[in-house]
Amino acid sequence: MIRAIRREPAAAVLACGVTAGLALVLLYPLFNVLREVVVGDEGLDVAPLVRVLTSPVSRTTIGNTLLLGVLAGALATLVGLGFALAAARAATGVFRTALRYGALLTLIAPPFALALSTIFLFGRQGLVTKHFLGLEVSVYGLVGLLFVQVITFFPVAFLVFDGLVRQLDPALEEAAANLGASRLRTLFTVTLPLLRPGFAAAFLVIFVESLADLANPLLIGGDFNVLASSAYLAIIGEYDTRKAVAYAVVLMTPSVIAFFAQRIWVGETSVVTVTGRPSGGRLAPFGAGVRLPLLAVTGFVTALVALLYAAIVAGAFTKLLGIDNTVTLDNFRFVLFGIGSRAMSDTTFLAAVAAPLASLFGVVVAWLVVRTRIPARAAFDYTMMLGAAAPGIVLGLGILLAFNHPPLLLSGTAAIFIIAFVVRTAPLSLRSSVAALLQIDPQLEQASANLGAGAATTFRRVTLPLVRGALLSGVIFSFARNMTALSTIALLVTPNWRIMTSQILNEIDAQRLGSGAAYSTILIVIVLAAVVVLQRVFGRAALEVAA
Amino acid sequence: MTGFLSLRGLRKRFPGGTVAVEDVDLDVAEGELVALLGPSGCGKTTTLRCIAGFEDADAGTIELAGRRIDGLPPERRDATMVFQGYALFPHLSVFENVAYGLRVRHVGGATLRGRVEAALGLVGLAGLSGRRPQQLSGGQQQRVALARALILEPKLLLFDEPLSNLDAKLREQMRLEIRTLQRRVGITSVYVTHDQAEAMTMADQVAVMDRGRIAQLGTPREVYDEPASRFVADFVGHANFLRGTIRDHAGADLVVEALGAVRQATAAPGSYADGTAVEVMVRPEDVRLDAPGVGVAGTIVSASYLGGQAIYQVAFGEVVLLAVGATERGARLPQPGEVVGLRIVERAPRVFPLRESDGASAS
Repeated sequence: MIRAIRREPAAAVLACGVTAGLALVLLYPLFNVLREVVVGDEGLDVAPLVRVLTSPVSRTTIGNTLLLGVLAGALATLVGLGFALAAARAATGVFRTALRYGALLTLIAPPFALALSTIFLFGRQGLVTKHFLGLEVSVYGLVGLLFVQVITFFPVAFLVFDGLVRQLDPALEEAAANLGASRLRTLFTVTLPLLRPGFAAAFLVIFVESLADLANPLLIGGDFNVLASSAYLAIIGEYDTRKAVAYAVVLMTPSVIAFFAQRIWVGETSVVTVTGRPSGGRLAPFGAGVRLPLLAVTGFVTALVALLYAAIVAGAFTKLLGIDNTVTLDNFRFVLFGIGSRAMSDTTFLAAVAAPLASLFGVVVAWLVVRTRIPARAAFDYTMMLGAAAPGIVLGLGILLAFNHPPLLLSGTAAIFIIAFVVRTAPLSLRSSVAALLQIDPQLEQASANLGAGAATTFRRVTLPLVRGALLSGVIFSFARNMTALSTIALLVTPNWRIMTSQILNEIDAQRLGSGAAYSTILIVIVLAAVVVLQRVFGRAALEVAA
Repeated sequence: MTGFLSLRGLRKRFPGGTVAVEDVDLDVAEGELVALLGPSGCGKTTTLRCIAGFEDADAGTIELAGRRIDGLPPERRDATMVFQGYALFPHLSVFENVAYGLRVRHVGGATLRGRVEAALGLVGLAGLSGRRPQQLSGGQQQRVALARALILEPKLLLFDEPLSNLDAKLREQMRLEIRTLQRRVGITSVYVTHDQAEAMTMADQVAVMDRGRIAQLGTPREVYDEPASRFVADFVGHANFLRGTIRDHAGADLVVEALGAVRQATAAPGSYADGTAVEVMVRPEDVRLDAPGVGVAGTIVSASYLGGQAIYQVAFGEVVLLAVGATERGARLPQPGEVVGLRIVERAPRVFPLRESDGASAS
């Protein structure tokens, strides 16, 4: 231990800083949640937790949450796999581009946008269901929620499988064909088994995302209650913190288990594939029997995504889409010159300040984990990942409890939002930086030390330039997620700082769907503009590393 | 007496109990090039990385120019390295790669420019300073790595299998180039390789390593002609091992009976008594093919024509021997199945104590 510190003084100093940082902004808030569960006004008291676990209503809620997570995880995984295979093996030219953008577009959608347009299109007064098809259906409930979550989360699976498909060695499929296997047989005996790590990874990540989702259950869940929305409503509606933390702890358990199961099972295998270089050659396109059904399904989903986006814009420019289709600019006027004017600058400012901090935090921890021999460095990785594993509502609750009284009285300040954003998005940067560092030969850093550079100089002159892509993609993704975050900050909002997503929720709550749509459109434009600008300025490499 | 570089009792175990370096003592004189030669896993690279400071030795000391360096971090050891994959910084130009060490030492301006150009000139790369490493050929990248290490005028130069990524032709050329440069600059060097030809052409001294220890340290001639153990004989060059019997002995000289003949031989360290069975090593070039009836009779198993010479496998009883012979223009090679005469000529065979479970074999 002493020897390690003497050898790597810079790493030891950083490790101390990281330990203190993680303890303060992540572990302390989570500890507060746990304490609130077991300690009441009169000492030890676990009654709220027992009620949540035993009452029939909340048991239904728990069942709903898990059911939704499993269904959304499974369906979104299959859709994502279809898109990855179609993009690589079936579609060409413009169609391939359309599939890719269709898959990636929903990654930057604000949390309500898709639920809102689903209501516009398929709701009781829906443009498609009522006016074109003449149906009387309700989208509120499991089916609508599942639909929105699958559309929202399948890009995660697409990215996972896309990475794996690109790394497939064409020689393996050629070998199967060479030994007499048909295209279809090759697909099922060689290609899909090679993609197996992706199934577990995509399913578990989407399961966690589904559990953490707050916006969609609030908007389109109807009577189908889930844990995240129950925790939120316990605070907002009943001012019952102890009930909220009981829901939060129950919610956190399967999330954290699934998240770390994914890291342990799948994390290692995906690392190995990073070093495996394809032996050249291109994957052969599928035969017509596979290609046409694949294109039909993915094409339909792509069209659906496009339609949903169009509906948001249409909803923004009409009085109330589906009921009163008069074209109007009132919604934008209401948002831009009314409630939204301060929220836009506030939210953009907070997201822009937090993004580079989160990215740098992730890179530093990645460096400690991959490149140093600091004791317990793996613990940094797992601890920081808690920020992504814990559902946003749990983190928000913890941060609210932790920084609500002196000496750490931060509620209402910019700092509390920045802490929440950094804790939530630093894990993204950590993962892309770890992947980037693992691809960089450690000999490069050893060469630097060998030529006389100390650890700090080596980090600045060699490591940082080489992980530049990961650093920038960390900034872009962190910014996009900060702008669209709801569950993490929903409980932190005070009149001092206006947050766009929170205001959109209020608009929809007040049944002003048109201004909600206009507001969502503005948010999408800001995020897209930021992504495009950052990409132009820093080059394409930034996004490719993240993908 | 200790050398300019001196390793004493160096030991390194890896987590999981693998012993990489068991106990290494090594002295390198100033200006000398010592090759660490051995199969993979013998500890040669770990030894080198301990000298560079990338591994912490569990025990032992490392002294360079009279100063203990084993406690120092890598950046303060004054022993620059040419890495196996070159480890050129992909985000920097050739010029900036070579300048890196000087920039770290806050050398700048005209001094920096002059020294970098000089170093690039030394390795024959003048004019390529603006390129990126990826735009260079393997041989050129190798030279950049060499210039980057040389420019700091370190006390010690370390080579980690620097030629293993080059093709055979270029490898032979670079061997001679590096050796010439090293002599000219007079820089003390440690050179790790698993290629015995590389070690023999480049090194003043060869340290043959086996399972974490130095099995023999000597000039290329010594390790080839007077190997200290069966392992060294086997690893350096090709060797035939025969069963033999001691007939007479006096110190390191003894008389041994093998292959149906009684001959003078030299003995590797060990204890020998008259009448005991031993292993007798004969180099392939010392096994001479002759007309049937001369020496002992053997049967050709295979004959390969390599241009200037031919390699034969010859069966003698249960044993298959390797023999190398000169080829004469137009002369026909003996064919498989043909019976020939075998003689052992030239150098005296080398005798090793017999290991249990050892049969005679050729390798």
